[in-house]
Amino acid sequence: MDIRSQISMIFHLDKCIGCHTCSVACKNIWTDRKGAEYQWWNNVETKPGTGYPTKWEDQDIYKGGWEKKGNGSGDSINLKGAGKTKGLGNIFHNPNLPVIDDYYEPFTYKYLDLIEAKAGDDQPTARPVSLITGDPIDIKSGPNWDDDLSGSPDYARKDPNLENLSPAEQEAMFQLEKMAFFYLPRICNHCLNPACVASCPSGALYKRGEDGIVLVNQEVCRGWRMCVTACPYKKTYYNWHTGKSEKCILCFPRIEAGLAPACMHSCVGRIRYLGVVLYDADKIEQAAASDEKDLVQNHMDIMLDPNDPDVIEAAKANGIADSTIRSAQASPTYKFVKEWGLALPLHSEFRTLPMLFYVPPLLPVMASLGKSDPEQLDKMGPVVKKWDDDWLYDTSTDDIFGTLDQARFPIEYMANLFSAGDTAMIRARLEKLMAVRIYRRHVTVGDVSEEKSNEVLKQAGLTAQMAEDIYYLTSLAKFDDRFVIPAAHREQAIEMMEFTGDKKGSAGFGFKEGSAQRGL
Amino acid sequence: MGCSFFAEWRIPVPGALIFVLSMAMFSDGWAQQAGEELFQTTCAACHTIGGGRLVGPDLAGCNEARSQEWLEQFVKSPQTMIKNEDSEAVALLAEYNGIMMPDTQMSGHQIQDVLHYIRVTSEALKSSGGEGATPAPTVTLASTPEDIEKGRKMFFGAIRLEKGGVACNACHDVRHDAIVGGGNLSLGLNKVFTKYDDVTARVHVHLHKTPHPIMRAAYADNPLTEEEIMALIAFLKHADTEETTDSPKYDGIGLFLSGAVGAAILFLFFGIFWRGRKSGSVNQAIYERQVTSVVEDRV
Ligand code: SF4
Ligand code: SF4
Repeated sequence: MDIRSQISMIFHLDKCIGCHTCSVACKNIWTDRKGAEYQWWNNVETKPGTGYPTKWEDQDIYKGGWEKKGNGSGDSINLKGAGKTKGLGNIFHNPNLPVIDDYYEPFTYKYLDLIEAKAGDDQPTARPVSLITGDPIDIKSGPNWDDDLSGSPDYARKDPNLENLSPAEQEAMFQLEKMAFFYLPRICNHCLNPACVASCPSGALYKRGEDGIVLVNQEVCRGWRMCVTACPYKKTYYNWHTGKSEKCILCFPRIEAGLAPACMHSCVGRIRYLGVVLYDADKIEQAAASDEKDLVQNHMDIMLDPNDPDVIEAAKANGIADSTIRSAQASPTYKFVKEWGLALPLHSEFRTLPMLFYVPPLLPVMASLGKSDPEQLDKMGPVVKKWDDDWLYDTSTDDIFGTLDQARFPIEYMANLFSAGDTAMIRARLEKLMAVRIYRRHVTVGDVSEEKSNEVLKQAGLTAQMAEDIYYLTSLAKFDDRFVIPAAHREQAIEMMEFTGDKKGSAGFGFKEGSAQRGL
Repeated sequence: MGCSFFAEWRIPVPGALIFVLSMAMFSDGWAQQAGEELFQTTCAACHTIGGGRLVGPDLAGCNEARSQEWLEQFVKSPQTMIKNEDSEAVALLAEYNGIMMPDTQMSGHQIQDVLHYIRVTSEALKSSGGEGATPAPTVTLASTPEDIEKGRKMFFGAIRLEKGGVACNACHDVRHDAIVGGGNLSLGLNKVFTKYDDVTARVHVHLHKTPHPIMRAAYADNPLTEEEIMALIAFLKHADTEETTDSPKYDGIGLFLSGAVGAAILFLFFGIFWRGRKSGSVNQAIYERQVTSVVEDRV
């Protein structure tokens, strides 16, 4: 056992309201610079949709992530579009890179024209100008251009996750009466088996030992852009101005100071959770190379129980601080992923072992007005409870779990996103989410009987206590419950590198050398 | 007591010595000897007296051909005379393929001594009917391909000079395929053999006992060995004769065609190598449909 600690995140998709506050917080802090205008280290995309950059999930186009050649359990994995030989062959011409139009041409408006325009018969207008050329442009696209346009033929219907859905299933998703969408906020997953790190010919990318944050060393980066190809999530970006690649740094300066990353701190829906998990680094290779059907399970099995005395002992032997172990025991990530089994990684089939987990969105609940047009009711299918009163706007359903199959998002669609196609896993998570909701309905509204709520909980594999805890962490949690940030122990890191006795009595401790020129 | 003995003779003895010495100095014999030494060290590399033409003219009888004043001026600074367009000096320069004698660092006295020595020697030769003149040295060159190769390597410093002298291409250039970017502090040595009428000895002079002050200073403490000189000469001769073949002379349609074929092969290779590449934007179809308004006023 080689125990290490990793800061790992949970995004609860049911709670995301798609406000993009997270993206803007991140942009204001990190990417409001020349060359970084198009970069959204945090982006929020609409699903079904093609995402940002367009169709990033389609690795036939972008050749990101790892691929496994054979089917046997012993077969190893290789980078799909980068790696030693491919990387060398393509070193001067990287053939699968996204171009700026796959992202979008970043723009601003000439706001000053509104103020400085001479008096005249026309309204002054602020024309859009490109942030790259400075010329006026027609805005062609944006980082979430399909926002709220679920169902549009250009975006929603080209979602790569629809691929193995039958045409009838696809069509059903886009019927006006059933149309639905949800938001998928994405940041770098700070993967356990990061393709970006593996692909870099300069060795500029690395995964920090103490907390697993994946970073690009700007001094070493030579702009080969292999990481841009290799990251299947397209979360490394090339800065055309500095000639180096950049990526989400999980706000490590904030984390070291005990603050949540800016996107999480500012999140309006409070969908984001962050905590440290202990994992067994010896199992990474085997987990990343496992068969597709075992992939998600093996990935989650790497995480170890922070309360297990053996794990604690091994962690201590590996130099993990007691404070880190304590915060692992309080980690919301561990609870969501392991204890409650609610969260799943996004696209584990890319085999990078992403350490950002998503609680899948509960199926949109169809509300109905009783005695409405029977024809209309039929179309809505059995999800809808038939109601006799004329005045009630109702959101409950008759048959609790039976409705999963008639969901507006087919389970296969969710499974393509979160469980490498395994529908049972999605079903289990959705059942738990529903069970908690029913339990709470029993507690607060009381129109569900206790037996029914207990039965539902049992069926979903939860206890009343667990349901209470889930409810608490989902709805009431305070800042410190959502973000359990381990102490950074900077003093130890500094002592590893330099003799601190020198600095005693002088101006103080610190890594700062010269002035930071890149804003990083 | 001994001290007082020396004290008494202290002034007269050195005084007498100085007198005797100065007498000798201003005597003809002394001038002749000083002149000979100066001639040997300064002039003999390029000139003979009665031995025939070497790098420069045979100096026998020059005192009769030109006035003493002209000679003194010329030896002092031939460059100035040419600059002042002295007709005789210019004619000489033309006769000697533009090889210019370097200005001397001798004083006026020394020049007179040298001219004296030359006059005396030429008169003696005249009366003896040419007997006893030292003939201009001859050098026979056995230029084997190995020599040429060795000389080439020494020229650009791939082989170190034995006494540690600096490689030739620090200052000189030679147009030769194997030498890129020689120095241009001094003359190019391309046509040095042609310039010296193909007489090996004349080239040899420059490597052996160069008349050029800067080069002489540079190699004063680390002269070339005879073997090195021969190798370098062999190379320079080779460069002189081969010079024309080294410069590209074939640039007809064949060159164009080989370029075109090469490019075609390269493009084919690129096509195969990058056949699976992503071309254009994934959003292209959407963008093409979009209505544009401002494209025309992009400058
Ligand atoms: S999400 Fe991409 S950039 Fe982030 S660690 Fe994984 S492979 Fe690297
Ligand atoms: S700030 Fe939170 S709620 Fe708003 S879009 Fe981002 S993740 Fe969603």
